[in-house]
Amino acid sequence: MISVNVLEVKGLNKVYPGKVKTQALTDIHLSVESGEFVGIMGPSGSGKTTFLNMVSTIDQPTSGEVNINGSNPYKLNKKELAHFRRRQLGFVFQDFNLLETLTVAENIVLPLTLDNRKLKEMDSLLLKVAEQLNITDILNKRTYEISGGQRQRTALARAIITSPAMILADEPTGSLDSNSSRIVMESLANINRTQGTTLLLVTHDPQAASYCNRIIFIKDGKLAAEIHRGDNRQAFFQKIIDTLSFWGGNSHELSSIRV
Amino acid sequence: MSFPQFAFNNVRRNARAYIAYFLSSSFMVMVFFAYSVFIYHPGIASQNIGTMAVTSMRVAACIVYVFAFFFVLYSIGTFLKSRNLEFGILTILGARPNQINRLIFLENMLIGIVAIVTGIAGGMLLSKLFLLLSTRAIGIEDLPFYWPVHAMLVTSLSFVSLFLFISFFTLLLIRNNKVLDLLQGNVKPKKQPKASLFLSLMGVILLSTGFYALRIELSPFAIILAAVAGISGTYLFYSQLSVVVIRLLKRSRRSTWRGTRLLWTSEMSYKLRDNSRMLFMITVVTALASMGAGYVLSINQAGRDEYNEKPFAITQTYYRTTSADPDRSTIHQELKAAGVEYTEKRTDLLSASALDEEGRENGLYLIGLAQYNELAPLADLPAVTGLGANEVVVVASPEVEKKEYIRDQMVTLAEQPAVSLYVKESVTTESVGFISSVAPVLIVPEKWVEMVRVARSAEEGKEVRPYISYHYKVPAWDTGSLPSIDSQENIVGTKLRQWNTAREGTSDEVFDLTSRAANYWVLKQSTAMLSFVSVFVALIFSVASASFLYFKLYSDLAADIRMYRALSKIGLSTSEMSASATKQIAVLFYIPIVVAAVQSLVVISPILETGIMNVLKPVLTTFAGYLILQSVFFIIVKSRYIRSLKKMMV
Repeated sequence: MISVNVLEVKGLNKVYPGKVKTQALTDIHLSVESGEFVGIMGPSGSGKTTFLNMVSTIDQPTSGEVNINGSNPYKLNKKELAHFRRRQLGFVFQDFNLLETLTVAENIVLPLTLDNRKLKEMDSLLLKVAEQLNITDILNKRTYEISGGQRQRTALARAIITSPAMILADEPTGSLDSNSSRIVMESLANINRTQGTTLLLVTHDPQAASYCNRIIFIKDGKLAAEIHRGDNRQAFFQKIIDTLSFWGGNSHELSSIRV
Repeated sequence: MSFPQFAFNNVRRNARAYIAYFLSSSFMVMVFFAYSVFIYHPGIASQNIGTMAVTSMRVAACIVYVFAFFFVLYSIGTFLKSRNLEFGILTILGARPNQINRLIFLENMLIGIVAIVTGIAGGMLLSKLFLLLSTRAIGIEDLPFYWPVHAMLVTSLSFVSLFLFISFFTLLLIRNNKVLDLLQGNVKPKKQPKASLFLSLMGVILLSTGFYALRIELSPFAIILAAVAGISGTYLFYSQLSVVVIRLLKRSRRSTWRGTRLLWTSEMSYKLRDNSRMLFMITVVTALASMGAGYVLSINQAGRDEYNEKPFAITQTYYRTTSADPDRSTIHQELKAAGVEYTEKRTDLLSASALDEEGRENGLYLIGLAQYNELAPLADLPAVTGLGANEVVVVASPEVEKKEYIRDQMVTLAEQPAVSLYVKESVTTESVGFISSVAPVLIVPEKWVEMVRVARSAEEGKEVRPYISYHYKVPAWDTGSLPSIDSQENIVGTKLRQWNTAREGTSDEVFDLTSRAANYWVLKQSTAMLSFVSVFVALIFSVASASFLYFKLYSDLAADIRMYRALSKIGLSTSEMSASATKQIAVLFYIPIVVAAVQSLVVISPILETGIMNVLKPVLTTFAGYLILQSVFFIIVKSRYIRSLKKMMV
C-alpha cells in the first residue's frame, strides 16, 4: 500500500501579537500518513490546542504551511473553508458541542443536511454509524437525557458520518469518567482500525493517549519528543508516563484529570 | 467603590443591554408628557372642541401608562433572569441577599430616573411641535407654548411611583433562588417544549368559536364572546399550537432535514415557546390598535367619499310644508354675499312602493320626467327621452336589490296595482346616491306622479305631498379636492346649517339643510382627534414591542454565540449562520403582525358583508404601516445581532 500523507505541516510558527508578544509555536514539522492514529501531548500552555487549531483551519498560522489531503486550506475563502471543514474534517470536542434543541439523530445528520444530501442516503449513513458506535437505541433521545459517554459517541458519530479525511479530537475524554473514557477511546481506535480513518488526538490523559500509534510531545511550543507504540498497550502506557515525567517534570501532569 | 457606584458602573458598562429598555421607557415618558402638556394647557378649556380632545388624550395617556407598567415589569423580569450568573457570583463572594436586592433596586431606579428626566426633556422640545400638530389635526386655534409645570409634576410623579412599585415588586420575584440554580442559570439544559393535547384542542376550539360567533349573528353578546374566545385562543395558539405545529413540521424529515432548516426550525420551537407570552401580548395589542385605527380611517374615508359623491354643495329639503314654494331667501342671500354663481334645481319626490312576487311592499321614489331631465346633466345622471305613457326608467345605486322591484321588465306600484309600468331602461349608478342610496328612483310621466299622489291621499285620508328639495350647484366650489376648514364652502355651509338649526321648531314645517363641506368637517373633526391620539398610541406599541424583542434576543445572545461558534468549527459557514439566525428573528418579528392581520380580517369580514362601510382598505393600510415600521426595527435588530454572531464565527 502506498502511504499518502493526509497532513503535512512545515515550518509552522504562531505568534500572538499584542502588548506581550507570545510565541505559541516555533518551527513545527509534522507528517501524518493516511490511516495513522497520532496523539499530541504536552503540559498546559505547551501549544497543543494552538497546534490543533492551525490544523483544523480555525486559526491562521503566522508562517509555515499546512497541507491537508494535498491542499492548503488557508488559500480558501471563508465559505469554501467552512465547506472544507464540513467535508474533509471531523471534530470531537471536550464539551461535545451538541445542540440540545436537536435529538441525537438530528445532531448526527446535521452536517449532511447542511449539504442537502438525500434523505435515504442520510438514513442509511445514520444507521451505519449509530450501529458502529452502539447508540442505535438512543437516536430519538435528547442530548440532556443521555450520559456523557453517549454524548461523546454521538459527537463522534457526527464527525465520521461525512467520511472525513481526518478526525481531530481535542481532549475527547476530558469531561468523562474512566469507564466512559475507555468506551470512547475504544470506539476511536475501532474507527481507525476498521475504516482506516486518520485520527489526530490532543490529550492530557496518558490512558487515552495509549490508544495511539504514535505520540508527539510538545513543550513550550516546540516539538520535544516522539514515541511509537509496539504491540503492547500497557507497555506503551508506561512509555508515555516515562516520557511525560522526563519532559514535563511535574507529577501533576501525570494525573488523568485536567487541572 | 461604594455600593451605589457599583450599581452605576453596572448599568454604564452594560449599556448595550440596557439601551433599548432605557430608550423605550424614555419614549413612553415623553409621549405621556406630551399628552399632559396638552391636557393641562391653560388655553384648552376655552376652545370649542377642547373638552372632548382633553378626554380622549386622557384616555390615551392612561393606555400609555398601563402599557408602560407591563412593559417595565416584563423587561425587568427578563433582565434579572439573564443575570442569574452574576447574582450567583455575588452570592458566592458573600453578598447578603438584601445587598443584591439593593443593587437591583438602585439599578432600576437609576434607569427609571434618567428615563424620566430625558423623557421630559425630550417632551419639552417636542411639545411645541406636538401642540402645533394636535391643534392642526383637531382643527382648533393654535395653542401657545407654555411652561408646563403641572404636566411635569404629573409625569414625574406617575413614573417615579411606577418605577418604585415595580422595583419593589421584582424583589419578590428573585427572593428564593438557590445559589446553584443561579450559577447554572443560563447553562441548564432547556427542556423540550411540550404541548398538552387538551390545551391544544382547547386553542383550536376557542379560535373557531371566535370565528363562528361573529358569523352567526352580530350581537353585542357574540362580539364579547368572540373577543374573549379569540384572545384566549391566541394565547394557546402561541403556547401550545406553535409547539404542535413545529413538531408536526419536524415529523416530515424530507422537508426539515434540508440545509439550515433542521437547525432553525428546532431553535424556533424553543424561541416561540420562551416568547409565547410576549408574542401573545404584541399580537393582541397590534390587532386592537389596527382595528381601532382602521375603524377611524374608514370613517374618514366614508366622509371623504360622501363629499365627493355629492354633486350639490347645499341641499334644503322640506319634508312637510304647507307652502308650494317655500321661502329660500336666506340661502340666496348668503350665496350672493359669498359672490359665487349658483344654479338652483327643485325636485319633488313622492314616496311610493312596489309589489314583489310575494306581495310585499318595497319603498321607492317617484319623480316627474321633466324635472328629472333638468336635474340630470348637473348630477351626472343619464337623460331620459321618449318615455311612453305607461313606461318607467329605474335609476338605482348598486346597493339596491333590483329584483325586489322589477318582475319581467314590469313594475307594479302598490298604489296603482291595476296597471303595471313597463321598464324601458334600468340604470345602476352611484350618482343617484344624493337622492337615495337604499331605494330606487323611478322616472315616470308627470301624470303618474299625480295619480299615485291622489291614490295615497285617498288611502291615508289626508293630503299627501311630495318632498320638496332645492339643490344648489356652485361651480366655484366643485374644485375636485376636499374643502379646507376655512374654505368659503365650509364657512357658508356652516353658517347656513346654524341658521337652519336655529329656526327648527318655530313652525309646523319639517325641514333639513345639508352642506356637504360642513358635514365633512363635522365628521373629520370628531375623528381627527381619535386618529391623532391612536396614531401615537399605536406608535408606542410598535416601538415597545420591538424593544421587547430586542431584549429577549439579547438575553439569548450568549447561548446563541456558543452554539454558532461550535457549529462554525464543524463547518457551518457564515452565510448559513446568517440565514438561520435571520429566519428566526424574522419569525419573531413578523408572526405577531401576520396573526394580528388575520385576526383583524376575521373580525371585520362580517362587517364587510353588511356593506355599511369599507373597512378593508383602512385596516390593510394600518397593517402596511405597522409592517414598514416593524421592518425598520427588524433590519436594525437583525444586523446588530448578526454582527455580534459574526465576530464569533471562526
